[in-house]
Amino acid sequence: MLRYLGMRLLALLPTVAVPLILVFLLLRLAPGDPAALLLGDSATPEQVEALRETLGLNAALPVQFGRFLVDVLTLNLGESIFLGKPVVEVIPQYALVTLEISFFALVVALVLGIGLGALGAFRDGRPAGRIATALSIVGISIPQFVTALILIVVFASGLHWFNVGGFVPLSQGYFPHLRSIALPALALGIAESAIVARITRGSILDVIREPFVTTARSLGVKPSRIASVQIIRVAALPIITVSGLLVASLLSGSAVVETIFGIPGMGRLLLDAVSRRDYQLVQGVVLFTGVFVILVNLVVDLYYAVVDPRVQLGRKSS
Amino acid sequence: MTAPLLDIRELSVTASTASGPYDAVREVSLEIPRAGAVAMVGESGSGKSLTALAVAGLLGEKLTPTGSILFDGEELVGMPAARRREIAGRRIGFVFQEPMSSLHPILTVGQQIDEGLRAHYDMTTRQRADRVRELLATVGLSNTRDIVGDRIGQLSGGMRQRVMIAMAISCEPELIIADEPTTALDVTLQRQVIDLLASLRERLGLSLMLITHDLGVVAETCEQAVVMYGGQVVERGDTRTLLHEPAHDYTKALVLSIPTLGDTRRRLPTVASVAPWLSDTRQIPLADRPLTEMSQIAPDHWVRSTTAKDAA
Repeated sequence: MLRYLGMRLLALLPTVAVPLILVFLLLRLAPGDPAALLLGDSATPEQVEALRETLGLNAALPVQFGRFLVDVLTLNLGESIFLGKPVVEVIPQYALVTLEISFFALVVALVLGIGLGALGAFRDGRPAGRIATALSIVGISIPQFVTALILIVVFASGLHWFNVGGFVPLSQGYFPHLRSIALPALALGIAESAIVARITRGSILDVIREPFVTTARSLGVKPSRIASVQIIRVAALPIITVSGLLVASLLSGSAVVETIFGIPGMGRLLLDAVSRRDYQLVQGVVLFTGVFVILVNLVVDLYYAVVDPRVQLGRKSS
Repeated sequence: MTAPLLDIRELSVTASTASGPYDAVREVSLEIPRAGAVAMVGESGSGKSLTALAVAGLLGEKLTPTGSILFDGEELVGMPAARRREIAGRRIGFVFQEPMSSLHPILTVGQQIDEGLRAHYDMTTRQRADRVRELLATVGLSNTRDIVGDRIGQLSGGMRQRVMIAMAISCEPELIIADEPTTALDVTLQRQVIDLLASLRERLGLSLMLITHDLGVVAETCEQAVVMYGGQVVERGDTRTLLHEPAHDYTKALVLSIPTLGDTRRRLPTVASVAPWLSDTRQIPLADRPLTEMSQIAPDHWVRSTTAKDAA
């Protein structure tokens, strides 16, 4: 078990390295010069050149990458060129907001998705099941920003239950804070719930046909108990896998939702950083997100072993 | 003579297929006396298993039974699901063919046997746990290591089938239906499982409906046998008569195909995929033909005539 954990954490290094290299190269290949952007239109070429030198942007790419790697390994992610603050200090405050929204969105996605999926499977072919399945197909087809706009029109500008946008930090009271992130979390969660619903339905429909379900019926076990004890135990595995992947999808989806609702989260931070060519900040956010997603999936893999004792971690299946 | 425990009369099972309804089982009638054992013999697709599933109330949504299945005087066909569940497991136990897939892959042996007890008895957790161990002992699984906490994947094929039987007898049912309980096992284990079923039958006073391909097993364990072909019963009667004086062409072909030890002179005959009496020139699917008459040729020996009245 510990050995397995060690191996997995070691494997984290190359996994994180790939997106980092890609981001490093893409940023530098993209047109636009942070020095020029920083100094504005009135700057002379000499001034820009001087700033490039100061920022280390004139060194050869491999040299820049080498410096960058050393920095990453020492957890010195450099300074945000625009915010003028160390990246390690900037990220946490934005990340916290995004993680909070993502967490609530995950809850919404799982509750709604598993509910709809289970309804679709257990009532397969009947009206309730068909409606549930249809809803999840519609859900997959609607992009997040449309869901977000519909929610705003109905619940914010229509019913006035929530504010249209804006973010209230936790320091101004728990309830106002929750109210300000409710719609973004819902918008994100609803979009992702459709996928959970599809996986849940398919997974349950597969398991329902298993002979062991017939065995349970032959013993006179109630359908509700067969569903909750026998079927869910087996059908849960694909749902757990998807949840892990969902976290990645939620983090990237947050960029869209945060922009629409005007929430100062990591998604928006990343968008802003990219448009300003704030290299250090972009790299920092990618590194953070990458490590986070990989860690979540590691937790998911470990959780497998808890749900299905047939899974023996760290051993090749025979 | 007392009423039989199970009295099936003109049971048909209709499958709804894309090309319309189709009778997979046609007007099957048979009886299983209290504490009696009846074998169901016939090739795959002959309707043996569907008949058994109809009795146990386990037919899928697309299969509809018609006719009558009287269990201890109570009609099972059309019985509400809730009442049906009270009988399932409690009064009729089912042993399936493939213990590997018919047992839950994640729940432990103990948890699985417990499900039936939980469904039918008002027992404490402690009492149920004791009963689970008692059942494992009954099916001969107490001498080995303690397997209550094991999962199916950790057990051998023979042990799995014993667990399956322990589940089937957990609530002391009056009737056990065993659907080819030995097909998935190797020969030495087949022997053990059949012996176990026979001894349980004696000890617990069970009635047994045994579905099998193995005529040797039939001769040893069941007093009566029913031969099925193409969804219908072609011959039924007491096992000795059926095996020694088969009256129907299909039964004769089946009996001829039993290998005899030491007889090396002859090749074993194959049972024709379409029995001679069925290969008429009209090429009408079996299920579409009118059923021929079943006639009694001895006190306990019924046989279906091989020619339809109108075709004679």
